[in-house]
Parts: sequence; structure tokens; C-alpha cells
Amino acid sequence: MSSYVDQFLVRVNYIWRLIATGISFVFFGLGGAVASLTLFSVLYLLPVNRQKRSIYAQYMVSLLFRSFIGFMNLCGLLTYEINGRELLKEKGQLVIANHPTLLDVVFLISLIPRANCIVKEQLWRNPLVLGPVSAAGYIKNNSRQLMAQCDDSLKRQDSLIIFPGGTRDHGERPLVFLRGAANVALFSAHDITPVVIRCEPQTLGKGRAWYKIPKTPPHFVINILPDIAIQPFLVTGSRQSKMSRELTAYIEGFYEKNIEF
Amino acid sequence: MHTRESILAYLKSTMSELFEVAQDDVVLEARLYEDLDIDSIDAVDLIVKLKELTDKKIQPYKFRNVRTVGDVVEAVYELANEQEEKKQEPVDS
Repeated sequence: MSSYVDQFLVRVNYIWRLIATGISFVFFGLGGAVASLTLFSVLYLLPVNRQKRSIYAQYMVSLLFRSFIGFMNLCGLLTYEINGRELLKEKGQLVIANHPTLLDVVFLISLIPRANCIVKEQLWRNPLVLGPVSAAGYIKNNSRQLMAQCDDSLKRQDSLIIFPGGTRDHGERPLVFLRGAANVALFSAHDITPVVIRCEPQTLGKGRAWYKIPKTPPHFVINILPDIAIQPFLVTGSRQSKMSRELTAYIEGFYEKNIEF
Repeated sequence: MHTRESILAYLKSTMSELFEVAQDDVVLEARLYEDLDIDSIDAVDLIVKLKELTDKKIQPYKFRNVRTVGDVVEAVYELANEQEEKKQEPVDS
């Protein structure tokens, strides 16, 4: 008898989560649009320079993302644990992470009040998010001065989030990372703060429809690990093309080792 | 004097040394980014090496539309021969 009740409850919970997931997506899109038109527009009216404005905007995005995660958690859509939060307390950190789900950047920005990131150029043509992406001073992914802009961002003490795997992981092993993150670290001679994200069961992955939700709510584990020092990879007289290959191979190995934890 | 063949041979040895690609993969049709995993940062190092070969200042913009190994060979060939012609000018006149 009780197993029927259990099954019924599981079913009810599933349907609830399906509806709430839909609501979350609408909430995210609508929230972005409303914030874009109100909060972020007001930023342009304030008598502050561009840098101050970007700091305010980044802080607002961080708060909004934190509320969004809180909302999803409250709806029973996900649970999470964050380990090593104190390792993200510095300003101007170069943060890298693996990228299993759509929510990774939301989690990371929610943890970093002054976060810059590299964003698809198309978003500057999307009126729903134009407000925040331009006010926050995010970097366009097709920029010709990408390296210099990343370097500037770190020098301004914005933290910079990069997913070296590019767009979301497809779950293939071994991991293959692009060299962009390594190139930024070498160019700026900046240590790297590695974050390892795990989501069980898998949800919101690349190429997966939003309504394909797992049977039980996903649990996110976000592990912030001690910095990878850049100094050993900066070899005098060596070429950047060589150093970035070595550093990228090291980062791939690092993630292979830590991703299962 | 640089021929297309000698430029390709130079690219084979240089690119395998710089970028850990197999010499056999450096063929005229190979696309730099998609097939050989050579990005814009790598291109800077490659251009330095091409400068050593041609002994001539290289304008990076000349390489902006370069997509394949064949394109690089053509660009270097043109550049090298431009130089040869200029050297011969005083002799001709």
C-alpha cells in the first residue's frame, strides 16, 4: 500500500518539478528582461564612470543569480553544496571550471560579486540581456583584443571566469580543453583558481531539452580548489605556443584527476 | 630563392617543432585551425619563424585571410618573390 503512495508522491514531485522548471526558465528570461529595462538602465543614468558602472552591474548580476539559485532550491529543483568558498574571496582571480550544465555560470557568478566573463557576441544583439552584458562590461568572444581585454579585466581587479572546455561538456573522456584559458593566464602571468563542478544526476546538459528533467532533483557539488601557480609554466625564452600547450595539458590532467572526486 | 616546395618543407619541420603536429599532417589542404589546432596565438610564433625564413618584415594583415597550409605557402611565396624582384630592380635599370 505504502509503495503506491510513494510512487504517487514521486509522480507528483516529478510533475511539480517539471512545471517549476518551466517557470524557472520563464522567470530567468523575464527577470533578465525586466532587470535589463529597469535596474540596468538606471545604471546608465547614474553619474558614474564606466568602471564603477561595471562593478555595480556585476554585483547586481551576482545578486540576481544568487536569488535565482535560491529560488530553484526553494522549489525543490536542485540541491547544492559548495566547498572551499574561502578560496574565492580575493579580487581579480582567474577562475576556470568544467562546464557540465547550463547553470554553471549562474552558480559561479553567484559566488563572485565582481565577476567578468567572456560572452557570445550574439548576446549584444539580444535586447533581453543587452542591459546587463553591456553594463557589466563583459568581454565579447570574437573580440580582436581578447587577450588584452582579459588582462585589463584582471588588472582592474575583476575576477574572470573561463570555461576551458568551451561550451558545455558532452561528457566525452578524456577531456579536451581549448588553450584560451592557459593563454590568458600566461599572458597576464596570473595564477589560476580551478573550480570543479559536478551535477548528479545529469541535467541541463548540452543538447538536452529543458523538460527532460531527471527522476530525482539534481545535486550540485562545487569544489573550489587551491590555485594552480603560473610561475612554473612561465619559462624564460620559451614560446607562448609551447607554454600554453604544456599548461593546457596540465589543466586537462588536473581535471581528469579531480572531476570524479 | 624559395620555391613552393621548399616553403612547404620548411613549414613541415617548423610546424611540427612548434606545435607538436605530425609532419605528414602538414599538407596543402590542411586547415590551420580545424585540422592542425593552430590558433591566433600560435600564428604569432609561426610568423616569427617565417620572418627568419624570408628575412623580410612580415605584415600580419597579409596573413589575416590565411586558412590552410596552402594559403601560407602562397603568402610566403609571394612575399619572398616580391623581395627578389625588388633586389633585381637596380640591375635591370
